[in-house]
Amino acid sequence: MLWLYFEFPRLQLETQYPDRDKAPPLAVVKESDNRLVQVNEPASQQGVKRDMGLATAATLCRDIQLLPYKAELEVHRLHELAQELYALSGEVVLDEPCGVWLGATNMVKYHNGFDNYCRNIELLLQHCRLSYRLGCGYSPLAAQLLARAHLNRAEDDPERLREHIGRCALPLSGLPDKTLEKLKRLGLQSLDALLAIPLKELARRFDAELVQYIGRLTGQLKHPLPFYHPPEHFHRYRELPHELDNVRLLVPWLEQLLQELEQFLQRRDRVVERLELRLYPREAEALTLTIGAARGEYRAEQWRPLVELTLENQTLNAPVYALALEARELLVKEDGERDFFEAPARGDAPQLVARLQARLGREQVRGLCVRDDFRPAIATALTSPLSATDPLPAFTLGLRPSFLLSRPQPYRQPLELIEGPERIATGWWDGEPQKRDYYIARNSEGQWCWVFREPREAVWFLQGYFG
Amino acid sequence: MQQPSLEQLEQQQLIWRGRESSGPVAARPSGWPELDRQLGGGLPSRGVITVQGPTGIGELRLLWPFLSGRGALSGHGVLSDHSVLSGHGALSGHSEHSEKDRLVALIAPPYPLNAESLPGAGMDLKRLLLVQPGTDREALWAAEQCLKSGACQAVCLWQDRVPLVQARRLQLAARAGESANFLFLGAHNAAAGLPVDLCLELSPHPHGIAVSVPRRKQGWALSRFVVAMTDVWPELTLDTRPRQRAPYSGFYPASEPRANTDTGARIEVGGEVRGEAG
Repeated sequence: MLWLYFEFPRLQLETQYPDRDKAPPLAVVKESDNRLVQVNEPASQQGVKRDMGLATAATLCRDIQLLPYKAELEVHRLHELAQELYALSGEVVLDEPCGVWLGATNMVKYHNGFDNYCRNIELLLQHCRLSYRLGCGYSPLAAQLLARAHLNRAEDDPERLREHIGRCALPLSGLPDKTLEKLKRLGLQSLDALLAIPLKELARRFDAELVQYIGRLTGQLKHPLPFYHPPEHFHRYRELPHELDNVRLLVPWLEQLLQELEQFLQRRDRVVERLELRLYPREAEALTLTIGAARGEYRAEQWRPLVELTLENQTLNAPVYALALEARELLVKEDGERDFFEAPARGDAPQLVARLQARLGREQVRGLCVRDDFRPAIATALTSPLSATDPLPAFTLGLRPSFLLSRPQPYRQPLELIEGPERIATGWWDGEPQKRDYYIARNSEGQWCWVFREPREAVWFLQGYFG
Repeated sequence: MQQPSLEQLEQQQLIWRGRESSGPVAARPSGWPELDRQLGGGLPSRGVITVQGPTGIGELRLLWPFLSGRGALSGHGVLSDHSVLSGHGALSGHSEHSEKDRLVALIAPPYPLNAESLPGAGMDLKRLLLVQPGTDREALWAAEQCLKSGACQAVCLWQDRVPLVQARRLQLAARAGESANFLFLGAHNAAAGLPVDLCLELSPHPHGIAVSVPRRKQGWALSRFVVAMTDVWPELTLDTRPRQRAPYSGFYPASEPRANTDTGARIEVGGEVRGEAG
């Protein structure tokens, strides 16, 4: 089987600074030994190289910016990348932290030939703004080896690939130093010489590790690899290159995440109604914001204003160093009920509701519904807006006021009783028993009031106004 | 003394510009023949309408037929669907159908709304959007969004007073979204100087509600007239029926309603059982 291997030598750097043109000289430093592991273009132009010590780098380039190396950032990005690659190629194997195998054999026919296949993959990686090294081979290890040898050529001719492998220096194999030393003493310089020895002979002289390596490299031994499966929900985490203390500055980062969300959902033909945005401030609990749309949506351009409105209300107590976007419940896309010839409805009610809720809060924008209860305070309930209401109770109600006081107030002014009483005696089953005689009354200012009195009590209570 | 600048005069609404009179605003029947007659067709279907007067005198009842988009009511809870709409010629550009489908937003009402009262007034609960913002600023923002979106046929906003600039914004938004904005202003004289299409001043009246129009864009001011509600809401009008005065304290009504109330039955005046629960 033919494999492609991509290695991303500057994965962390290019994740944190995707914009290559505007970036200052940058390097990623491994903190354990203070050596540079990733260097960007502007820095290397000034002579800074990989594996340099910190002091040397600082001498060569005074304004170099340093990022501490974090393997988990690379792994995270690699997983995101695998999702993208999965759309083009079905067999994806991750080589954490910064490599990925693609099984090419079965995919070639879908892409109309091996060259096309490779070109499509490379276009995707260029779109992701990542630099990479490519290797091809008839075993996973062979592809990996050629990528490390900086071959960078998409080839599927077995003979030529064998030649390339033969020319590789032994240290590229990644074998332990002890084995490499032993091979060196035997006078073996390149893989060619090693491959000339039959496996059986190798087994007699060397440990099992080398035998397994050579066997897997040449394809004589099986090399089982776990295939990547795309996740069920969307989750992206971005660590910012520097802390931001203004929510407005977060918007471009969010925009990129929303674009990725759009792609994610579009591929699955799904929509989401709710996004969770998490902001990670320095030395404080993460701030979780829930952003809802009134109906399922996948487009970034629709989510953007909602996210911005939600952010507008937030003040940051501490600078934010990372953010995450998550969408858990993927819903099936519902086709609009509108048909092709019908004129589009004016104004988009769900969109309006989403806008209002994003700025004012979910609880501030509601709809009303009637519950089957005689107690006025219980019969009226708030629901989510635009939701279909239950059919009304079958009985005919007495006249009801349009305004209802949230809590009945004692009423001591003179009243003229116009209509009533209507006795509502109910609720004995749920611990809120009520026995009240309701009257429609008019006060001296001409206001129409709904008042009640409990039997054998003298105090009148104002329950509402007939507005 | 300094001469007032043109801008200042304009802000005080003392200048009339020819190009601003953009033809008559389409009127839509309010559902009340008397009101329609006085206003010459009905309430403006888009623009800002200020409503002033005490709460609880029938101000919403006056507007429900317009807000529901279904035309007149006859007897509470009973809709006459062959409504006044068909009787009047002054229909706006929208079909009756589209107004029935658009939302009605109620922003910052003075008291919680009672859902039970709305179906009787012809309102479809599904079309009702209740917005309760925390501040006046948010309320004005929400009103503007609702108006602008085109998704609402009417937006009712309750505020003490509205700054001139905001009122102007609301008017522009109402035009853009072809929506009617009812501004219920609580403070005295709050509508003065605001650029609005119609000012309504409401006061209680035994037979319904008394309306006067101190100012409107198309036409002259109208002096007080009465919109009678006796037919639609007989319970909420005073007629010649004998009345019972409510005692202030220490006094029970002469006729204690007879009922087997423990079963949760609902009793009306005559002791008639209207429904049973439990």
